[in-house]
Parts: sequence; structure tokens; C-alpha cells
Amino acid sequence: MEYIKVDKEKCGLCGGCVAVCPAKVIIMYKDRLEIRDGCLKCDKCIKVCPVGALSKNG
Amino acid sequence: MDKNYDVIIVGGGPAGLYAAYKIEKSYKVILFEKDDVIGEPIICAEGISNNTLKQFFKESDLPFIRNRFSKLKVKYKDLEANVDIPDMGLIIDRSKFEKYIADKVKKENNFEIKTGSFVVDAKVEDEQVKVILENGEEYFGKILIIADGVESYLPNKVGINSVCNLIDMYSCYQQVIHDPKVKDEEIIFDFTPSVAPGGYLWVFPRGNNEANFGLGITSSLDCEKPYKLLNEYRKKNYPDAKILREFPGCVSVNQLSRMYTDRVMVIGDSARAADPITGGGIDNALRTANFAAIVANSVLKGKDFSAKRMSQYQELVEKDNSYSIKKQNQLREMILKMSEEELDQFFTSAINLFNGKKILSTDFYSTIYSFKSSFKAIGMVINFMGSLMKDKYLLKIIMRLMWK
Repeated sequence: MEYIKVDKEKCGLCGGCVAVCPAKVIIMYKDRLEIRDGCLKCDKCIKVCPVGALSKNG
Repeated sequence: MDKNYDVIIVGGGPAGLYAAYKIEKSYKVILFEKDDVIGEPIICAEGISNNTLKQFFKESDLPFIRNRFSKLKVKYKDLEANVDIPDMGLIIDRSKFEKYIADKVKKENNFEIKTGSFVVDAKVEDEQVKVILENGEEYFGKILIIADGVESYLPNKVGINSVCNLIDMYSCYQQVIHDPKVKDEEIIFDFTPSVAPGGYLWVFPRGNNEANFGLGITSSLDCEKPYKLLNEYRKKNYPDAKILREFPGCVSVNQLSRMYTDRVMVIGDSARAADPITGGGIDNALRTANFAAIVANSVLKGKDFSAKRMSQYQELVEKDNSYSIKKQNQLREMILKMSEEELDQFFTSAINLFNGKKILSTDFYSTIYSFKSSFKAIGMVINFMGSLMKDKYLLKIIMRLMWK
């Protein structure tokens, strides 16, 4: 199971999580976020998200 | 199809578009934009200084201006400063603004703008730069200008570290509201720590009692999410406001220590060039884009595309004496380290100093000289207020006087 899950309803595609991700595994397409393998589990994306669209799975 | 270009620009926001506009028409230029339409979606508070606008657009009729304001209100807890700032700033329609520049790029420069084109990778090779689109298509250029916005994804692909620390990131939430309480002539900043920890709340008037009403916090602080904080404030202060649109946004600051490499320049939000205090990104997007275009025009006349040659771009950015982003960042770092007591003193000084004053563009020298007798703390305060007024000329004078 992926470490981070994305709530598509909440996500506004602002790009903050992409900017702070040290592993650069978050890709922002024009209509969706994709999180690839290699997550360092630092939780920075969760902290930066203005609307709480990212959270830990499980 | 020939896929070789002189300049490849990635990103069709203000920075990328303006860079394209300023590159000489004789060169072959292509700009890639991820979204399907230039000017959409917009995640922006839409403030810009009048000086910047005059500097970068010589036309007298600019069709993208929403509203001009003439009063600044700075709030801190129960204190407030009301300052007259005629002609200092304005609110633009960012969507029209981007379409306006894109139109020039296409019609005046004859450059190609490819929308719906997400550049997923870039590689610097010996004789060229290669970019790869989501669909696998490859394009080649002599120079690459990266303007991919706050997410700053592409710089890392060419060896420029653009990973942003949480402390350098503002997490924001904005609502476009309509409320008779919104005054079209007044821009409001509220720095009360409980309202917006490590940031501020803004009311940027769009005209017709509409406002870009938003809030940004420093992302490293443990506090409520911005959308919650904003809604709390709105319910208390604008209970009858109608929400027309709302969206999250992020603003990264603390400009990249290296904004270039072989054949590559990084501009605008992608280079974290937004003003560290106000988070305003458009002014410096245009500024960095202009310098990148100057360097591209000159570099393309020769054969040297080395990092050393491209470093001229960063030199121009840093030597631009109308504005010092480093000083602004130092100031931000100082404010972030202040205890609540120190913040109280700082904002009380700022508010007492400026309340009731009128700042005219022509009257800077006398205004500043009247403050000169004070000490460094006051210099910080003035510097801070200057950044709110988004006037680089004012800042320049203040810095000369106070920071030596």
C-alpha cells in the first residue's frame, strides 16, 4: 500500500507538495497528482498542503 | 517536423510568457504550457506594484487592470495603521494579463506556444538541451528557460536543487468574496499571529465590493490548516460575504542559491523569486524573466553556453539595485524568530510610525529622511512597511540609509 494517499476532491493542484518533496516523487499533471515509488516518508507534503488533501494511508 | 529551437521555455505563466516576449524575434522560440489554456486556472491574489507595471509595460492602455487602490491598512491584534498610498499598487486580472502577454508573444514575436504540453524531463547535453513531453515527444534547444512555477519540478532534472524547505513555504487559502464591507480603495494586511501564524491575512479589493480574501501561514509551524483559519476569520469579520470561488495555493520564498547551470536559467516562482515578506510573485517573475531574456539574447550571439556564461543572469538579478530579495529574506527570518513580545513591539512601532502618513511616489526622500534619525529597529520597520507597499524604489532608499 502507498504511504501517502491523495483526496482528489480536496486537492486544488497548487503544487506545494511537489515543491517540498525531497525525493521528487510527486508529479503534478494538469488534472491529477501522482505519487511514484521512492517516498521518504518525511510527511512534508502532508504539512504543506493548505487543505489537508494528503494523508497517511491506513 | 524540425524540433530544434534556439530557446525552449517551460511554463506559460507571467515569467515564461514575459521571457518569451522579450527574446529577439529573429530567434526560434517555443513555449510549453501544461494546461490546455493560457491564463487558466489562476491561483493568485493578483497584486502588483504600479512601478513594476510601468517598468515592464510601456503601453498606456492595459486591458487587464481590475482595480486601483489608494489606502493601505495594516492590522496587528487591536492596532491598525492607515496609510495613504496613492498610485502605488493595483490588482490585475491575472487571466487577462497572461492572455495579453501570450498574444504579443504569438502575434508580435511569432513564437510558438504549445498548450496541453507537460514537460516531464530535461537533459543538458554537450551541444544542446533536450526536453521530453508527457507523450514522449522530444524537443531540442540551445537554451532552456525554466518557468514551471511554484512546484519547481524541472530544475532538479538538470541538477539545480530546488527542493523547498517547509520554513520557506507559505501555505495559503483564498476565497474570492463579495461583501458590501469590502472597500474598493483599501488593501488590508492583518499580521495578528493567531490569525495567520508566520504569515498574514489579506484583503485585496477587486472592485465592485469584491475581494481576493486569503491567508498564508509558514508551513513549518504547527497550526490549523489555512482554509480553517480563513473561514474562522471570515465568519467573524465578513459574516455576510458571498463566496464566489475558493482555492488553495502555495508560495515559496528564499530565492534559489543557484538559478542557472549550463544552457539553463530558472526564473519566477520556480526560482523562488517571490517577495519573502508579501509573497507577491508577479513583480519578480517579470524582473527575473527580463534578465533571463537579456542574457539569452546575448548568449545566442556567441557559442559559449557554459554555466559560467549563464551565471550572468544571476549576477543581473542580484545586482539589480532597485530591490534586494536577500535583505527581504533576512527580515523575514528575523520576524519568524521573534517572540510574541518582540512581535508586539515590532508591530506597535511600525503601526505608530506609519499611521496617518501619506506616501507619495515623488515624496520618498523627504519621508525617509524624516525617519532617518531613528535606529536600526526602526529601519527594519520601515523596510517591512516598504515591502508591503511593494515599492522597490522606496526599499532601495531605506536599505541604503538603514542597513549599512
